[in-house]
Amino acid sequence: MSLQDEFQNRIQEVKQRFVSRLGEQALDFRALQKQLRDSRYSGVALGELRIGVHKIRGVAPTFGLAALGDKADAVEQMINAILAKQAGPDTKQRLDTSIDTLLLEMGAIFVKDRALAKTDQA
Amino acid sequence: MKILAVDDDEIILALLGEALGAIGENAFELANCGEDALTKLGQAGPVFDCILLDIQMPGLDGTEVCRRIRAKPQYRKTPIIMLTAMSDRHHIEKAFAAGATDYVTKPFDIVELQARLRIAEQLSGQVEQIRQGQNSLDALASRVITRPAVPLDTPLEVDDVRGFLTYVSFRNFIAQLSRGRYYASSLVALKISDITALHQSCDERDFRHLIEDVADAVSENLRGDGSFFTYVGNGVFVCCADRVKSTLTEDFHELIEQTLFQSGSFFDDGQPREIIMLQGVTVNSGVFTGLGSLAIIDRAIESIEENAKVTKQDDEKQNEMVS
Repeated sequence: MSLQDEFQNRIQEVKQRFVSRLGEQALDFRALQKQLRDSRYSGVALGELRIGVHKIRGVAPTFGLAALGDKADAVEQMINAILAKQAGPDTKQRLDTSIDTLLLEMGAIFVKDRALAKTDQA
Repeated sequence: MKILAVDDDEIILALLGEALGAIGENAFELANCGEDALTKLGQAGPVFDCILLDIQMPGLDGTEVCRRIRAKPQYRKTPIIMLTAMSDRHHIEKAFAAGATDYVTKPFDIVELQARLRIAEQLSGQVEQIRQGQNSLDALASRVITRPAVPLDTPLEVDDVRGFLTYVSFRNFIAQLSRGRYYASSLVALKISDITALHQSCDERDFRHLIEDVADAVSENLRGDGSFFTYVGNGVFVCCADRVKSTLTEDFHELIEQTLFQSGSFFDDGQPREIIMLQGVTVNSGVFTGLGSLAIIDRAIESIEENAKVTKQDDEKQNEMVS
């Protein structure tokens, strides 16, 4: 067995924990998105959201969830642009859309995982 | 190898635990924040041989933790690998300036991590040898007045000089810039003229002082964040700077000579020494030059060695004519 294969086998349990966490994280992100929509474009909310998506971006591809990593990366880059005051006029709208896209992806993975777990139990 | 892995995310820590377990032969401890890491490093017992450090953490960030680790005498030379999703040039420069040995970007590849750890293991072995050798030499210090000079081609390390990186860290820095496609860097190599003769006339301490004097002068003239240099041995220094803000002008070697002249460089017996610096051509990294990450370092070194050879031949011809 190659090192890569052995590693993939070993991380299945960690992947499971990562996926289980996505549901709760999605709720946190939704709350932060709401704060941003309510015109409270605070650095605190942006900073919290950035840390959250940064963690997902860093680890999702290792679990074979490259699309999730890409969507988290898109959100992080827009937040970085806003915090660096390099944002275009439509960046806030695009950030809102990219958060929606990320939440959809997180939800899809979480729901699929739950469905698989139920099938296994049955 | 005993490894300390530091990350505030329990998922990453668990992943690292599995990765290090799969790579095998490693004992490891995990720390969930910078403060926790510093506490573990401050405890009595065997020192860690390698540290894996996340950058973005609440509280003390990884760069600051790296700086504080380097302030601990027993960890001045321990390999520190930054393991991070921060791939922008600013973070890379900050990490190396704080004393990082290597930089791995997440999502990490297990095979790549294994390769980096192997290099760290080799370095760690060298650090241990130096530590043991230093203890033996300290014990002998009262009886031995001079130590044999280190081989001329040894890439010596210089402590506490702004912008100086060890040769290994410098190569890793350039490689990381290349991986991130940050091509706007210029490199230039400098060589101490007549280094062979100088080396032969020095003991180890005197030779180290010579290299330290030149390193101080290079540091003073190599301004700007993200400018780094290293000593590769044979009297050769290689400097790297952002091409746009570069201070690596054609007369850079003259500026260093002036600084050395003004500050004064002396042999240990008090005799002043005149240091002449030679400069190679400026080498730019980039798609258009066709030079990859590490090739530009080799190219810069080749250039200065060619220059040194030509200068020596010219000097010999001139001496023949005079005689």
